[in-house]
Amino acid sequence: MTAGAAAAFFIAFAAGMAVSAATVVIISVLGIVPHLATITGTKRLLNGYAYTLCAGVVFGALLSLIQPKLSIAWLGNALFFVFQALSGVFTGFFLSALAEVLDIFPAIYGALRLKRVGALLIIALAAGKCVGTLIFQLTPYFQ
Amino acid sequence: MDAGAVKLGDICDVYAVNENETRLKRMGVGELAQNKTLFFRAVDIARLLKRDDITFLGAPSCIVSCREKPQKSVLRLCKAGFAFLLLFAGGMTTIMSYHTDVDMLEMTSMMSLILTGSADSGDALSVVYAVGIAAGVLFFGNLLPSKKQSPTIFQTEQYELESQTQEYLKHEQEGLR
Repeated sequence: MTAGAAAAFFIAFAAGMAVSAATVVIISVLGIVPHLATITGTKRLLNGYAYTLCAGVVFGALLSLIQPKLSIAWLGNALFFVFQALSGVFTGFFLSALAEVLDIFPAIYGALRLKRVGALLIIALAAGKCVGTLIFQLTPYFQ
Repeated sequence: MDAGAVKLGDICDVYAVNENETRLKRMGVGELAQNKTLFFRAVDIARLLKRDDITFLGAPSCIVSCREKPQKSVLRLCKAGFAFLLLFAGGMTTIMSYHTDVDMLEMTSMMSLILTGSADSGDALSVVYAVGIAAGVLFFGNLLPSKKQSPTIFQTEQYELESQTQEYLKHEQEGLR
């Protein structure tokens, strides 16, 4: 192995460490894993969830960089469908957690004095995100 | 605790000099219904005992909540399976979105060209990078097995979440009085 290749490997490893540090901090600050464990009533599996998240991040990194062409016909379609559905749920979770951390909801309630209809506001926000995503994905304006 | 009568001994430690300690501990202070919570303040206990020579130590109030019924194992398995899948797919989405956003492939080719003279770095560099990511998550998340019993970053987050929930419940109960 040449010195250049060794340096490239070292930098790649260090880059991986740095990127994962940021990933862990963001996901931890947003409290996604504890919220999920509380909602599903499976707090005992907290560490298992953390390892699964780690596996997902590593697998995603490999897929996006190596980009293997897995031609597995209908199974590929099914996997893609499940992955998209789960990604959508996770993104919704992520955005809600981000809004919570940034105290967006209390700011809206305070400004509009709408504390009593707080749940309705969140439903309206979720519906807005859903419609926005559909417009982004299905119309030609954003292609 | 389970639904039913709440005794003084259930919500606090009791030490008595001129009173029968066992009798005090067994004294009923409330009735806990299924899926409900009870809120006790130190002053409520003083009023109940009708004594003015009580010294309270520790938190001035507490919440007693009913223990949740254990979920059916099939339901628990489904929920846990969903959570595992969600976090796996979520982890993938997060990192893949980031790579697309910063054009990681281009960056890897450029780095390879600078250091090795060839833009085609092959898959080995990507594997090393992914190993670095795994090491980083395990290291920064405090998920590596060690002899020291320190909580993981997610366990401390869980503790904070539970503390905040308890504080909110107390605040809500105090507001109702």
